[in-house]
Amino acid sequence: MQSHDEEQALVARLRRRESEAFTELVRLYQHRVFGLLLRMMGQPDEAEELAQEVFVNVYRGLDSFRGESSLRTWIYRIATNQAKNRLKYLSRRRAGKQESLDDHPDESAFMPLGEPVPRPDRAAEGAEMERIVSAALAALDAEHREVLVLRDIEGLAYDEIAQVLGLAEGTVKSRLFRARYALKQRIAAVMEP
Amino acid sequence: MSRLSDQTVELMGAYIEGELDGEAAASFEAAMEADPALFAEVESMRETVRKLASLQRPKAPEGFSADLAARLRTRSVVERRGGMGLEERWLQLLMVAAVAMLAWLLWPHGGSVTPSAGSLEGSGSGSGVDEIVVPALPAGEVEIEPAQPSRVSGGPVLPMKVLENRYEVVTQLDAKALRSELRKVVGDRQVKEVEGGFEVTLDAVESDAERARLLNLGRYSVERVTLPAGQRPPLLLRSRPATAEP
Repeated sequence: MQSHDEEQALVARLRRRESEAFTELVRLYQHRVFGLLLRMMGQPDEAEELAQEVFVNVYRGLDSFRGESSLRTWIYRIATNQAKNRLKYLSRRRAGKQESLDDHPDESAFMPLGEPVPRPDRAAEGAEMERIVSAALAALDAEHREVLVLRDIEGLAYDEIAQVLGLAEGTVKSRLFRARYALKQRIAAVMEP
Repeated sequence: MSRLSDQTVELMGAYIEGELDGEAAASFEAAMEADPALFAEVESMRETVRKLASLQRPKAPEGFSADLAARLRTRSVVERRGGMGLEERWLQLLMVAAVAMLAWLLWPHGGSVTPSAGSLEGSGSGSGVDEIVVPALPAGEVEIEPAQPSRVSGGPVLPMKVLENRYEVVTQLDAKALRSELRKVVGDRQVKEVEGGFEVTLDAVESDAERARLLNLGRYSVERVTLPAGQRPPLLLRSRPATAEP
């Protein structure tokens, strides 16, 4: 993660429209933004497309970034808003079919992406757990999913999440605890015979 | 253990996060000691948090940066064609121009719009554009809002939407009138009735002027419609919503 000074320097360069600064910004945040959107949307193609749009919006909105929050918080906010709008749109479109977006998470999207590890038995076990947790996360409602991703996967502080989601810190905590419990219940339902 | 109450869940969450003060934490620990099921729930919750934290971090696909650079370049070119700066909301301004053109076309010297009864009355003046460059389909929904709807009488100009896989225009015509207008422009073969309106395959509408006529059914007014290279998505023309006009 960048220090405050490094971030300020990057923001200054971005405002001067230095193309290398934007490249650096993309390098710093592309995986995080993509990861967040993949967890939110469940489909790699959808996540990639939205992530691209997030950076387009970031590029266009640089002049309006006042630095009241951190650059990271601002980018996450754009990304979560983008995801919410998209989910809302998809949900409206699917309403006629009485389907939920969460009915069809692309579980293959969450399979491990790393290099093969030497112990196939453990690797298989780990991959299976990864799949179960990812599928359970994808099956939660979007409000729970986003707060879990921001806190427990991306590691944002409560005040950062509050800024990203536009909620009071107390609401963030309450939502997070309930989301964790909901996730735990879903995982248990799959794990228990 | 049966489902925990919201209050217990929040207490448990606060305990795990170390947010309970000394007295509250001690009280919760005493409750756990007295209730093994509660203790098991806390441990299970901790394990859930660990599992979440250990999920692999997906990486953006190869070529993400290159694709983004290409996208920004494309947008930049499109914006320059509209004569606007990169930071401006060119889509909005384009629609302002389209609305102005509508007013111009509806002035007595005429135009290519064929208004239906009660659908396209309006008056006004102003210079307009003669071409609308339709943006490439984005992932999300983009509404091209007319910025000055008050310049056209007879009801609001509703935004054109650029959706994931189609363009969408809400017209001021009821279903019957819309069907009739579509017949005049593209005939029957290229029109599919769908819920809430009619879908037209733009691929089959080769003429820019015909595409413009379709768009003008949504109270826009342009003479040519240029589609993004290689894209011929369908255009959904919605009939007038029941609440759109008094």
